[in-house]
Amino acid sequence: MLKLSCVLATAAISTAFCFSGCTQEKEKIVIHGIMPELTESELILNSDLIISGSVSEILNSKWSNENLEKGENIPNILQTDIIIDVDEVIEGDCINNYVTVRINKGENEDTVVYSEGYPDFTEGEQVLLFLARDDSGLATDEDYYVLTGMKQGKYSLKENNTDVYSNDVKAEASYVNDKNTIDIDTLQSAIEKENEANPDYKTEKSIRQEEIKKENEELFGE
Amino acid sequence: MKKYNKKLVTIGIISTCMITNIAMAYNIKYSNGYNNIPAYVVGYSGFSNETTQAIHNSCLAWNIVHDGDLVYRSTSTHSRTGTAVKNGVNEITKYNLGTNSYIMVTGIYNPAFKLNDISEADITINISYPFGSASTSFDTQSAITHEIGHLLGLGHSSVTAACMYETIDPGTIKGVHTDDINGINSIY
Repeated sequence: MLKLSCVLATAAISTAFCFSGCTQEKEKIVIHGIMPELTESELILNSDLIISGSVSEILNSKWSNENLEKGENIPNILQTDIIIDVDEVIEGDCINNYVTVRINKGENEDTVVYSEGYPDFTEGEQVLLFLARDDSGLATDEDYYVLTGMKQGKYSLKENNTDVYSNDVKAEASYVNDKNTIDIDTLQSAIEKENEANPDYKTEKSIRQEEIKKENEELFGE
Repeated sequence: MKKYNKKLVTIGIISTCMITNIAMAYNIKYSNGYNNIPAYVVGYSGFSNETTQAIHNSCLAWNIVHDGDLVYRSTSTHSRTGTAVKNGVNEITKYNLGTNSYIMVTGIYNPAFKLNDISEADITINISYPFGSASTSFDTQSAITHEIGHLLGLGHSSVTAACMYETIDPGTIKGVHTDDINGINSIY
């Protein structure tokens, strides 16, 4: 009886040990990079949509080119879509009462990708977002946006502004990120000024991007 | 007397913290650095001589300040035209990551059970941005030097003049700064 007890105890301990040792940690990929610093003017002019709203849902992360189904020349990056319920469209057109924002980081069952250039989102968070259509080689025909200037395009509602709306009259709302603070009223004036001063910005940018493509073919190959 | 001593101790602690913070403006992300130095970086076969030279110079910049072999440009090249894949080789590639992404980016792979060293780091040049010597372009060598700093284990510095500061303006040329040197010498 004693022998049987010892054998069973040993088996139980060994199983527990094996289980803990066999649990595989996730593969960790860490992305670091250098970013261009955007002025407020550039943030406004490079955005297709500027909204305030709240984070409704953070979807499961997905690979951009799993099993290289789209071909070997398309990167396979872990991406996460965030659904934002729109409270106010400050600039641009938004048909739905929500938008999808895509960031290039995330976590799935076996991999976690960290990328400090992209901010984190929390469900329920009140945000002000500068958004642009994806003009990268990864862009799909789905309806989503990317953050203008990466983390520079996300602001969170300032903590002491908990009662933003009162009697249908919007109180002044301030949003912050790790570099700046923005007030909605000031922002709206700034947007009007920038659009007046740069009416052809997007057309000029498009032309310039074609030039950059040619210049970079000389430097980095086709 | 006791109150006076307490004040002195408090001032001493605060001063030590301040001095420590000033000295450590650099940021070490991987305390064991690259796990098999010297590291070799393999460029895309289609890079121009100018780009190849920039890679060479960037590696040299880190080797000089450390007075040792940390990283070299490999004489081999690769032909991958998308971003790099995990294959045990530190590749420098180019891709259109879009105008709302990094200028250049380094992807670092950690083996699952080792958290403080680097086994592979791949660098991607974002060809959506202008590069070159114009005042409206980003300096290729400055950006590659920054990314190789990540390959060697450094994170972003809080010193704006440092090569490892997280942003760069067009027309700015950055070499390896004292803060970067302190960072790299603390790892190797």
